[in-house]
Amino acid sequence: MVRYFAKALAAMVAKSPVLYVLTVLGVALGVASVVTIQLINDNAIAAFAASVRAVTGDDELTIVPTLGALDDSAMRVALADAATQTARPIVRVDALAGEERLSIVATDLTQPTRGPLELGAERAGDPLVTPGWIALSHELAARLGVTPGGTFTAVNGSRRVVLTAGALVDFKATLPLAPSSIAVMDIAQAQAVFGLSPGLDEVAIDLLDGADVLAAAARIGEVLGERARVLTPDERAEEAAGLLAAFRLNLTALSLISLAVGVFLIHGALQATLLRRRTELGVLRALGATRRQVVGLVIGEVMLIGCLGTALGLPLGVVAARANIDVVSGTLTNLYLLQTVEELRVPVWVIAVGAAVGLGSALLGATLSLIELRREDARALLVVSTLQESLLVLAPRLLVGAALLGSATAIFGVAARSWAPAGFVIAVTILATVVLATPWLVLRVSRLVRPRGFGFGYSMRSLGQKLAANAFAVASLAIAVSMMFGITAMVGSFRATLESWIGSTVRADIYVSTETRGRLDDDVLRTIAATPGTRASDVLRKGEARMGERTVRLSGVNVSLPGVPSRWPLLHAEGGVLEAVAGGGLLVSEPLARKANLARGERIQLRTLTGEHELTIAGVFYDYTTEQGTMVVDTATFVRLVGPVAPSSVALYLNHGVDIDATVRDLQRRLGDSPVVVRSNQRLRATILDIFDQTFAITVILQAMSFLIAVAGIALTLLIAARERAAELALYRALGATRCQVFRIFVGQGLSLGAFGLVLGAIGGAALVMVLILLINRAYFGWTIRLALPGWALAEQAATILAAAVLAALYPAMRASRTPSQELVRDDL
Amino acid sequence: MSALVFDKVSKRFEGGRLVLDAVSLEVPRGARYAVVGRSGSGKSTLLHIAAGIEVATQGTVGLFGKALHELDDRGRTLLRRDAVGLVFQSFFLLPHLSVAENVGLPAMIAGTMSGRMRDRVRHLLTRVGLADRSADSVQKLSGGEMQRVAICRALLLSPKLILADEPTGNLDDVTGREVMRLLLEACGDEGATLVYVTHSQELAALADARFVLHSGVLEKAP
Ligand SMILES: Nc1ncnc2c1ncn2[C@@H]1O[C@H](COP(=O)(O)OP(=O)(O)OP(=O)(O)O)[C@@H](O)[C@H]1O
Ligand SMILES: [Mg+2]
Repeated sequence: MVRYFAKALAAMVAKSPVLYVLTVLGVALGVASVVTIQLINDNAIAAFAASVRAVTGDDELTIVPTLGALDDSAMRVALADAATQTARPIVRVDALAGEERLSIVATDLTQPTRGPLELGAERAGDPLVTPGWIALSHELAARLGVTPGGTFTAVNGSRRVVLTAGALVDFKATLPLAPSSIAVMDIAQAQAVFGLSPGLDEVAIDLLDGADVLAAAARIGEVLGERARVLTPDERAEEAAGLLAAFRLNLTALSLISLAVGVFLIHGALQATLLRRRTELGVLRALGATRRQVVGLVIGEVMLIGCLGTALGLPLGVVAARANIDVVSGTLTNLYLLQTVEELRVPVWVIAVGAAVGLGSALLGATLSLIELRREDARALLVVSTLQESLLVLAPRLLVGAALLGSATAIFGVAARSWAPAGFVIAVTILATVVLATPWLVLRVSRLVRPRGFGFGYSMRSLGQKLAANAFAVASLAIAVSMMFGITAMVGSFRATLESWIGSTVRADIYVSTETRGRLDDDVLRTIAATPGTRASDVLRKGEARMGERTVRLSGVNVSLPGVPSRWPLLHAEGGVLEAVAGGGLLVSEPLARKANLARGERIQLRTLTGEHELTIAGVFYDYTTEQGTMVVDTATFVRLVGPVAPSSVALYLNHGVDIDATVRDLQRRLGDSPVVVRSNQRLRATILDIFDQTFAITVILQAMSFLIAVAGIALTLLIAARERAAELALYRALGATRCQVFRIFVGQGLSLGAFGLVLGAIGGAALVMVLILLINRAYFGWTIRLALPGWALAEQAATILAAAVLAALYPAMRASRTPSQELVRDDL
Repeated sequence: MSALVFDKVSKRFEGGRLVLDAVSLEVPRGARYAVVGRSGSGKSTLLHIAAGIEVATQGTVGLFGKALHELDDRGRTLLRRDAVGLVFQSFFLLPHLSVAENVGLPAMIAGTMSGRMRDRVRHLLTRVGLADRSADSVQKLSGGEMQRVAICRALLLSPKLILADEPTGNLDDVTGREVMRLLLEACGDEGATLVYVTHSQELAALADARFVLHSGVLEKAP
């Protein structure tokens, strides 16, 4: 039997090497797509965690403020605990040096430090004395073009400072994933140079060896009370991951999809191979091969393809991840102002998952065919499978699909509000239904076609033949198209919603803000106030408050500005809202209202640095700036709640007829080298949309994947068809069809496979976009998105898919057209 | 001009024995010739070479005055499409098409499907007693019914030469005679030439001339 196996295999490979290679490639593609997405997911999260841990190293406990900043008492409490070995104060500063972003961690460098700083090899000056002394990574220093002792300027808020590159440190030596933008300063220096208000962002505690971490955390937390929280490393990592939740959700969904697509591709590729061998296996059984022998034959063959494909897919996935990590980094940086992923690390578990998917799906595919072998007696296998038979096999699957959909809907009905993933269940069900409905639909529609000639109609008509293989191609394409359309439509709708929202909220003529998350200095504010032609100006102050266990953003603005009522588009428009805000009420953004279950008229408790406050919600407004949500109060209320902090940005309303661009240039000139950004209304709108576009750049990967699936699925199916249907093609030739006609028939089949996939995918995509907008997005982000189909983008994708289908059909069509009429004599139809 | 001329045609399949050995044959227009012979003697091969489906190893084949070996693939294909009707030994009907569509296939390929052509399909199916089955899938047909569909398909475009490989092989005597009459009538009505392979002495007797193929050698039977 082993010899037979080797012979059969050799014969198969020799007969159609391209087909064999394509099957292996199908498996490889499946494995690669899983590995790529998993790697990207893992690396993005690891980079984020590393940036949290950078420099502070593996401190055992961290004190973080509940609100605002910590004062010196936190240091005293930390040092006073019996288990404490050392405690270090930490302040974090975001700065910009030219185009380079600096994540400055300022700590007390009078103390001996542990961790990466000790490793600093090239030093110049003294951290405490040399003005603006800062330790940089080698990479950052190189990008800034400074050497030890050299100086460069950096910007924080509206302040420009001169820093001295004091040491070059290899942060990656201790933290392989540390971003190169990390820089370290002495805390006193940083506070003086950047003019920071006193207060700490963190206190890092090193415990004595053998100390009970949890007990120490509890003790210190007890003493600090409500002011601060004490986090263990695990809790800190969790907090970090929590911040990334929405992003992770995106990637996890994507990786699940890639998993499904991978399994599907592999299964399909192998099924096609097995289908071809069915008759042969039947003959073997009829000639007395035992069931075990046949099972061995099938598994052996499938596993060989599985192994080859996996071996090829793993490196392919790593390469693809490396090529795409930039896109993901872009998304990360935009969403969360974080560091980028600079180096790809490949954890063993990802490789294991990739291999498991490859080999597992191969085995699954083999098992399914073996079940079929079991069910049918040897003789039945000799009969070429007929349409009716396929339909009979498929009918129960269809029913299962319908049942799945029903139960998922039921689950949703019960758990809609309490169980967020319900949307995903429905999404998966939709995709499953699309797959299950495919064979039925293809058969039905292809039978409806009454071909008048030997052209496209005829191609369509013959899809019913070899239904299983064609249905596979259509289904995999339909899935890809569903996801592609669904996500494109969702992003397009989101963008349209955002655009109209910007239209009503971004109403001032000129906006002045800082590049980093800093504040505007007094002299900058005075210069802005002196702008000629100004009708009104609005300053925005930013602060934080605690609402129960939740930290919320608080914005203080002048709500009684004349003539700009639409700055906060209300969910329930009614009069008197702004008056209520001016009188001490607050506005709550939609995501926050959804997540915290708030409604207008409700009274809520806010805790700020000035104490406890009770405020009334005057209204809920649409807001797309942050998924965490934000609250808006009048300036007077803000000052009462948070204090007279400096504004973060200023919006100017100009008199009619004043030239906006000229005013912007004039203001820029008068601000001189103050590092602030002055944007016209148009520029700001464009900037917001740019950021939006970059944020969703990650969907490009999805589209590329869909495209590959479309091409691979169709090429595979048609290539198999070119072989399997040799007799049929030879008959056409015998009946007088020219090569060109056979070629056209095949291209037509590629086109009709593409068209079927497109139509089914469009249906699935339509269902998916509703689920994405109404369920998933609402549950996870809390935004209201109005459905607005991006017609052009969808049409473009549809055209691309069809073009890809035709392209994928070209080679198989060429092969098919070369079928000689002699084939007819040898084969059965 | 003859419909079909074989001049010392030999055929050897790759690595196989000589299947046809210098076969010469001339079929005048409108003639009805029968070929008989043992299984494996090369009858089907002879017909396939006549249709240009197989290519002769040696010798030349002329179809209505055109030498097949002088035509390129496209030329042979178009000549076959326009001039030859084929009935295959094992029918070769397409399972995914209905009875009527199988019969109409040559017209679809030739791009001449029309209302009149559809009438002809119906007419032919009526002649073989399958009018009520035209919408059925061919998979539901019996062997004999399939054979009749295959014959209708061969007759559809009123070819000048009909090559029929055991057209009655699966039929009982009565149906066999009927089908044979249909083929012969086609020749009578439309002046077509017919070459058919058969195992039946009775049916062979209906031909103008009979040939015996024996170990690749073709001889005229008395
Ligand atoms: N494509 C082919 N390749 C190799 N040998 C072939 C091929 N086709 C036919 N043969 C051989 O040629 C010989 C003649 O075959 P052919 O089909 O012409 O016989 P036949 O007279 O029609 O037989 P039957 O009455 O059984 O149909 C056989 O020995 C067969 O094995
Ligand atoms: Mg024969």
